[in-house]
Amino acid sequence: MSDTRSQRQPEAAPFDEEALALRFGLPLRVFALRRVEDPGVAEDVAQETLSRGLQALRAGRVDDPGAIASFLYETARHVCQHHLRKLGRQRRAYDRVAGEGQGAVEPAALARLLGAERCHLVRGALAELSSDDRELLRHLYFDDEPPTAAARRLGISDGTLRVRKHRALGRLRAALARHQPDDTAPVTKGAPRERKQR
Amino acid sequence: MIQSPPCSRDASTEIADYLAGRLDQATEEELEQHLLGCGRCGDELETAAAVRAALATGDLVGSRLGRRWVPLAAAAALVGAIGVGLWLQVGRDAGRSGALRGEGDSLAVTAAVAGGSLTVDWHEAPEAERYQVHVLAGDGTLLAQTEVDRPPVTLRLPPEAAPRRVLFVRVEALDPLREPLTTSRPLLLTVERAEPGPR
Repeated sequence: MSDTRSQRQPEAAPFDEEALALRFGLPLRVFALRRVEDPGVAEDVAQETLSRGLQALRAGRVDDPGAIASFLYETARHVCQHHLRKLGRQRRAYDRVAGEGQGAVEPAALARLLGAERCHLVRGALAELSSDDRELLRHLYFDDEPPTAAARRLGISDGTLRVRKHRALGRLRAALARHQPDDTAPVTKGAPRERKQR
Repeated sequence: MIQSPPCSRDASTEIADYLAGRLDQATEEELEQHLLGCGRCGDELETAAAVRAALATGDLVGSRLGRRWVPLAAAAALVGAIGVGLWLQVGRDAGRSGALRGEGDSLAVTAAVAGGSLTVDWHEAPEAERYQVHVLAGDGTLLAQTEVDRPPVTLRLPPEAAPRRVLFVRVEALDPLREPLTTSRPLLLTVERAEPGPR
């Protein structure tokens, strides 16, 4: 995915909207989902954050492209709080910003955020992996087994587990590249824009 | 071009902890900022999130399922929206509870979970003498099996049926010679945690 994404970076349009969305869209959606818990709202937060980021770049308020990540992060936090306040969850919003870590990113909500089509593609890629690779990724990223516990259960060191995980992820990326329907849409980018027009 | 500085950080373990909600607030925020600023680690998040999301939509056809399960699971996958009606919200503290529904074949299997038990019901087949009920983990491992002469049946949920685990329930109707008459479509269950608070 990184290759695909970096290949799509436009050389002549440094602040292109598409480049911004490709680079930051998915992380922003995940961060937002973590906070607002609703995939639809998370999508709105990500879109609004990207829009503000683009405006800031074009207006020269963020003149260093390297600083755009920090700008987007703070903007996303702010937009999340705004949404939560709007939904009457001010107390929870402040608790989350000021309090302890949040809960898990719920897989079902994440699936709705990514969209059925992309989940299907990823499932196809996962099915191409060996059962060992698949089970490892499942335990780590779906069953939420702590890596140290997974290593102990498998009778391997933490370092070996890291290597196996790294290789499994690499093979998954290769499989995803093969499953890519065309060369313009990254498989794991967020769901297609279905948000309501405001 | 949006560039990020070279990074040698191995964020995949932290990402697993992040998605599982095991990080404290300060670590979370530091990691989030890094993931946004680092293309390489951002990709790691994308891949991990994709795995998490994809597995939430059901299990994988042909992973460790036996050969006879493959066409059944494929049929289930083809139905597409099968999982939509089958989500099962499980109370966080009060144990498992809830009900599910789904369109089935002639056996029209349904299931409900309450108090750590799984109750499976279905329409009786005209010539069936006995019914076998199988509960399988998402990877095809048989978790529980029983045989009864009529529906419904209540099974103790195995410990493996932890929150967010995928389960299949299948009912097989047997004739007096114990030959299979018909087999239900695998009923796909995803046992989920309930939302932590009111919306």
